[in-house]
Amino acid sequence: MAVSSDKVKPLDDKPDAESRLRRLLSQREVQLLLVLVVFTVLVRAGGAQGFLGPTHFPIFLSQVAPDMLVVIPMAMLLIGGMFDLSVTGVANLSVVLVGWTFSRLLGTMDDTLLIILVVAIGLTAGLIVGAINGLAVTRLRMNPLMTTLATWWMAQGAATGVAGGESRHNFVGSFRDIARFQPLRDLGETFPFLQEMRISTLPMPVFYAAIVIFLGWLVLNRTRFGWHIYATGSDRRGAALNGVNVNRITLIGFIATGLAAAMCGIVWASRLTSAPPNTLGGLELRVIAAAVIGGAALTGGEGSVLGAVLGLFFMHMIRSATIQLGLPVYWEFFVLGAVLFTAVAFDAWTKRRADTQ
Amino acid sequence: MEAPQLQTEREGDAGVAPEPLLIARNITKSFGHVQALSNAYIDVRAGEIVALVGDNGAGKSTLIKVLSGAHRHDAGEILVRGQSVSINNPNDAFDLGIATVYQDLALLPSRDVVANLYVGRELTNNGILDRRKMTEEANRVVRQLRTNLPSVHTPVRFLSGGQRQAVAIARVVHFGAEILLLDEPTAALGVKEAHEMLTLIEHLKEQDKGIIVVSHNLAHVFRICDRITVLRHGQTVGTLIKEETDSTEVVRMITGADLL
Repeated sequence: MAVSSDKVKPLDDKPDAESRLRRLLSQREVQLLLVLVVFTVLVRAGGAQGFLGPTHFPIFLSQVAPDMLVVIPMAMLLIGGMFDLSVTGVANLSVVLVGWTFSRLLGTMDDTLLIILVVAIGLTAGLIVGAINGLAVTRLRMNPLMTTLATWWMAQGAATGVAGGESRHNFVGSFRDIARFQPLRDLGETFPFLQEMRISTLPMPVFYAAIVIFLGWLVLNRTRFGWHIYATGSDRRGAALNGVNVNRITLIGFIATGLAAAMCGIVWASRLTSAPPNTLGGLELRVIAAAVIGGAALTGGEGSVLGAVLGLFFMHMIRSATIQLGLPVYWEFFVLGAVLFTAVAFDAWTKRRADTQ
Repeated sequence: MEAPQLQTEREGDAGVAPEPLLIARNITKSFGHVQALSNAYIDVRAGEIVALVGDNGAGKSTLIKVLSGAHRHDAGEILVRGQSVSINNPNDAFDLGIATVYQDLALLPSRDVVANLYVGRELTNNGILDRRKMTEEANRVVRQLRTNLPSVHTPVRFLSGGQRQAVAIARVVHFGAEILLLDEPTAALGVKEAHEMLTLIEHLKEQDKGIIVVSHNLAHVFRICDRITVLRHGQTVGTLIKEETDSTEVVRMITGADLL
């Protein structure tokens, strides 16, 4: 077989160290991690010594956590070739429904039962909007951009409508525990190092976020469903021809995103113990931008959970750094926009280079 | 040169010529008033490459689509391994071990070779993807086809046209296809890639697949095939054995020019 033997390079399962390093450095997650490290060093050198230090880090984590609940399913939706603008509206609707239910039903039933009911109502709102988005896009073949823009406004309008111009705050006290309970507090008394590192003070949302991150990673990388998400976003028709139920993938993606946005709203209501209809602003662009900075392609088929996590960290680090360095906060959006622009330009550049090789 | 040597090997056991894997006879198909196929015939044996040639509109694509289950024929008979079968949809064809690789390959550009090989049929272990097994199998399949790929973890987007086609073929072979219908496998390829694709098709023949190749390129046809079936106006004009003919005769049969 002289014809082929000199042509066929051996398929190497164990590449040499140099090519392994090069492959590692070509991964978006690794590049982004390096950027975050350099950014942290620069900010600390620039005068904010405590930036992401032992005092700041736990606070930083609890600030990122509510967004983290949404960025994971949003990244999965993007990988599947879709996206959802309605999350801010859904989160605010969930906040307002929580406040409305409390103000109507407080005292009529057991507090624990009421909290369960409140959470169920908030999540149901997310489920319904997510299902509407998913069915509109798959069954009616409506454009996802316009569909989720419309449902965003409807959900936001319903939120302000139900709120009727006022912000409710007669909540059950123990409802605060959803956002404020510190599950490791007792452990911190037994193991002082947990207290010193402030790990024992981490509130519940950090743990919700950790669970969502783990589940997202597991589903996306280790299950057929996850590979089918990638397949759907990579080539919808090709995936369907090979037996992937692309409409089911899309529908479930929208429902998961809706539920996550509703959960984000519940966490905020619990944290603020108040329910204004404009609690969340800009959530949709923050999480979409974070996922894109983390390597998710708007055209689908590419991206990762770790990338989305790092992308969201970066967005929040910029925000924190602006404040800690005493820069005018009004410029925050300029910096965020510039970072997003750079990320997208870098993407286009690497793709162009790869295509011409 | 390896081809002649292969040929003698085959001639060695030519006395016990195997039963054709696939026979399609008297196949008729019309679309409204257009008679696309009338009395078309083709057969292919295991370890044999049959070229299906004909002018544009001669019915090559229609015949391939009938065999692959994309079209239902009006009349005629299809025999697979000697058994009369009915192929009503692509799944029937798949179950019979018939697979078609179209020019448009239905691959996933952003996914690696492993994911493309297994899309829709991923291997799992207690609900968790068995990525190790899929990678091992993918390496084995790719080696078996002697395909020139950098790594099975390369996204298909970075592969050349010929390599993509190899992945598409590897996919159907891996899932048990014995009869391969290749629609213009070299049409979109450069010279070097076309050469590699022809070599790949020859390897498939060594693995005892029955292969029907639709092609316009008679040079390619003469390089790899054993027999040539010529279609004209939806009818099989004849089937020629490569050693007993040349391209002039084939062109005459394709165009319907005077056979003598």
